[in-house]
Amino acid sequence: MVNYLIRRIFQMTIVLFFSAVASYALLNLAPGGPLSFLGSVQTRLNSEDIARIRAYFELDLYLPYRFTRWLAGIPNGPLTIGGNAYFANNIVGCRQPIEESFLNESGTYVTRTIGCKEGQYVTMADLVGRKTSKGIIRGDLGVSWQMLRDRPVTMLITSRLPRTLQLMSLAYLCSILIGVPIGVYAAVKQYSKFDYVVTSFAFFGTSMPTFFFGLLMILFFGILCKNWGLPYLPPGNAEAIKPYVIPLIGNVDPGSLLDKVLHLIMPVSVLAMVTIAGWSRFIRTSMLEVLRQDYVRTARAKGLVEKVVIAKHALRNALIPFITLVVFTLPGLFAGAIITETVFNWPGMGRLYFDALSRTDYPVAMALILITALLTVIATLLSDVLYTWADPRIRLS
Amino acid sequence: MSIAKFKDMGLDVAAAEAMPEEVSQFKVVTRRFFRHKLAVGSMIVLGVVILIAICAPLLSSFSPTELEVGSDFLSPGSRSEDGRLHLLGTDALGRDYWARIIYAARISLTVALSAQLIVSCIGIIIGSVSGYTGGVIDIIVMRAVEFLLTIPALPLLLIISSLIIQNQDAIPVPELIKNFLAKLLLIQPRDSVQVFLLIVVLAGLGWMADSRLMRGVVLSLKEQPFVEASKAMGASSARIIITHLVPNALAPMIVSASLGLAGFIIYEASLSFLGFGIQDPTPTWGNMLSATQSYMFQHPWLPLVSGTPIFLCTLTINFIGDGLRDALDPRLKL
Repeated sequence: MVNYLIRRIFQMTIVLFFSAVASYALLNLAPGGPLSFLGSVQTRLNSEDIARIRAYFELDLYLPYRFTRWLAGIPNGPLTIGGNAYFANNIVGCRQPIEESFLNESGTYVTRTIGCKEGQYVTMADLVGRKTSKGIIRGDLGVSWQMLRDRPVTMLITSRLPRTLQLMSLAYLCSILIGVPIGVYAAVKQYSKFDYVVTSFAFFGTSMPTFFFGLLMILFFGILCKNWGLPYLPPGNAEAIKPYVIPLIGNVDPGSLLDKVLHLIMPVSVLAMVTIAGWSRFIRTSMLEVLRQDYVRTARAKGLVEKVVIAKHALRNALIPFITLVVFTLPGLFAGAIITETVFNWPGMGRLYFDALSRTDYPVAMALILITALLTVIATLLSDVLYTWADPRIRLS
Repeated sequence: MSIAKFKDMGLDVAAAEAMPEEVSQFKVVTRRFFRHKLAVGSMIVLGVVILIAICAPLLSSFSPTELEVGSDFLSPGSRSEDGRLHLLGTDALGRDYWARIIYAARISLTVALSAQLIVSCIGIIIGSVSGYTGGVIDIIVMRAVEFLLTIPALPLLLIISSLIIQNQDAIPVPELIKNFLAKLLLIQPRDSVQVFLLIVVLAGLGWMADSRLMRGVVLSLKEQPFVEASKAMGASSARIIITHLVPNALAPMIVSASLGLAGFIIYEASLSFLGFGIQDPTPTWGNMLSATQSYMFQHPWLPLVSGTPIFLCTLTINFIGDGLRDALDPRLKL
């Protein structure tokens, strides 16, 4: 078991390293980025200004150095051993690259970097005193470029995370409390009316895109109910800004418990409905399979009450594959739901990711992707380990 | 076998005629499929949607990008200045909503269908090769698949799609494909670049699950006696894969493709809805739904009109997939 864990953790590290490289390369090799606005204001900027802006975003360093500085915070200056500085004159970047535009075959102008202006190289010694991150592996996620300029990404995350945790944990809790019982009951009463209703609900739930369902809910409970003078639900955000009146319920103060609950109802039910649809179907199938097993027949033959057969013999075994689904909510708890949060304007992590992408705030987007990948990898390991705990027939080797 | 042959072989003709009729696999499957009422009904509904998409130019006298100043947000059933009927009213810019919906059907369905077609082909090729040959290729391919599956699908899709759509002018797209898509979808060649890139992105991030499925099927098939027999008769690996493994693995792949198609419709709509997919003025159901968000308070019917086709298509495709699964292999589970 220990050997197995060590091997798995080693594999996980490699996978995470590759996803770090991949996401970093993806976002840094793409054109555009933080300097895309320069094109429109270039006439008012001299080359010194541009060099300064490039240095601010570390764009004057070559890509491998940028990557290692982002990953581990090195190199942050020449290597000093016993008072001697090594590699001080190593070139790590270029302040003012020479760019040349030329016409390519298809008739469009392409700008390419062909060299570096004399005396404008960045050397290792120049890196001393530059503000640098400690590196992502030491928990420093860097600073935001656009959304909260120069503030750490961690700050953005900690301000958004509680909202997402609140939303997602409530949604998953509802899904377990509702999805599991209806799945089990549908399996026990296979081909009954209830089963028919559950399976068709599951079909609707999996076919309904969340954004459409969310909009429909806003339309009905937020807009139409309000227009008709019925009690309505506030359609967006997590809290109101000013007090509002809801018919039959009365005055609602912003930030009060009632206000928070009212704002939570719609997003939670959208998320829960989709999850319940998937989970109840999963539980039903797994339960049906277990109910056909010999040991269930044996239990019945022994004369056990049907309740005991189902609760003790069938359900416990049917829940084993369900572990995977529950464990894989872990990345979801952190990352939130991008679409639902966007539709309901919920100030959580999913919305943060969406905003970071639309405003090209790449450090934020990269941090979110990496943390989600880390949690996914951990969830995979966790589900494998939990399997052996739940089912002694499975051995890890 | 014909009766004449039985005679030649000196068999009893009467006995031969009394033998049960030989039923082809295809007939068995279609009969089983048609017993599935919901799937057949869904097939009809989806057929109508596809027919509408194909006949889009005949069904509306408006072009989807035809603006009419001053007649924005006309209610359904009102008439334009020159007396033509706006069946579903107009949008914020005075464009005919019905025309946009049916042209969007053409685009959304083309994106989903071609993405799924590419994904199935890649899945069949990669899955069968890596499953059959095993060894180093198998290890490398499956590690890559596992790696790609660790990164959550929607965030990855969003990030790549946003990068590509933002830089669409920098990406060279063959003129042939550009013009073909523009002709097929009745849009400008400049706008068809987006459609093509979106198909590539969706297919590029969607092939993993199908390859895995195909590999699993091939792994179990390759132990079957008929593969051994054909190996003993000297067939090459390529021949075994093409003539024996692929046809036998088609059933689960078809089911997976039909369910995947519904997924691609939702993915395309989500991307366009969030603004990282196909952009206005090219109509898709996703970006039309997204545009209605700002006007929901005044015009509550608009989200219903543009969202319903997405739901209808995914629901019917899911039902068809379910019917196909029951028909092709009742024991199959996905």
